[in-house]
Amino acid sequence: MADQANFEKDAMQFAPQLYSAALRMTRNPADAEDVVQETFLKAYRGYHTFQEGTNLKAWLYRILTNTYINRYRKKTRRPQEVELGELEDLYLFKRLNQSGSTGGASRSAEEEVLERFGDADVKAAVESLPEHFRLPVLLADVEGFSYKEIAEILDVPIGTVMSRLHRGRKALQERLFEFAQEHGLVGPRE
Amino acid sequence: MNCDKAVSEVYSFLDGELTGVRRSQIEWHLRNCGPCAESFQFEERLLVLVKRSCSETDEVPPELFDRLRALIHQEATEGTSGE
Repeated sequence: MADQANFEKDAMQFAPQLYSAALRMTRNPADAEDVVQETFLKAYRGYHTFQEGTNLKAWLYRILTNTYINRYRKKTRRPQEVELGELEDLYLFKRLNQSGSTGGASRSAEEEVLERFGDADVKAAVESLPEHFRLPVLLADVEGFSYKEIAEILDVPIGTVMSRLHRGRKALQERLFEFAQEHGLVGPRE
Repeated sequence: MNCDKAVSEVYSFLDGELTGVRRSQIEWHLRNCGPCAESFQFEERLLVLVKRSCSETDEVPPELFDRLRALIHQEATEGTSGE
């Protein structure tokens, strides 16, 4: 059991990471700050339930994620449970491979297209994903949590994490491919 | 291990979620299958790109730390005075 008196010392170091994560979730600095403040208040109040020696970062992210989901769902009145169509594996790789503009069978042609995406474009593509899929993608790809940790943070089974994460990544690839087409990074659709 | 099976596990593999025999089977397949090795490398690069794009350090409002500390102190005082 953790001592509430140590909360500030233990948890404050995660404030910048939590703020960045909140910004990715809310896409708005004012909302991100509100979510972080509420997270810290809840975490402080519940700190006596935190098991010392376990993963404090994951524990804080769990509170952050719940806070965000509760606020977000209140705001939009109902959860945005958008379903994504089933996309094939290696979606982007195959599309880039098929589009003629990569200049033949050069081994790194597909990877060269990747280099042409700007960070802002990729970030926008991630932020455009439905919440359902964006959260697992952010938690895995940006925060580096394991499937088990994400399952605990989102309070869903590991199988659900895998399904949403893998589908979210494919949806992201679909958006990147559309972007590449719009910006002439690859040839037009056949 | 064939290509379809390897590709269907690409994310679990890259995420370090596969262990033991299944991991070894895919590693062995990748050593012997150029196209799969190439596609796995592409997927890995893309994950690195996503991480880099989304984890640039955002400017944390300097007052945020002060506000968080104030919240905690207020809560701590109210908590003890209420007893």
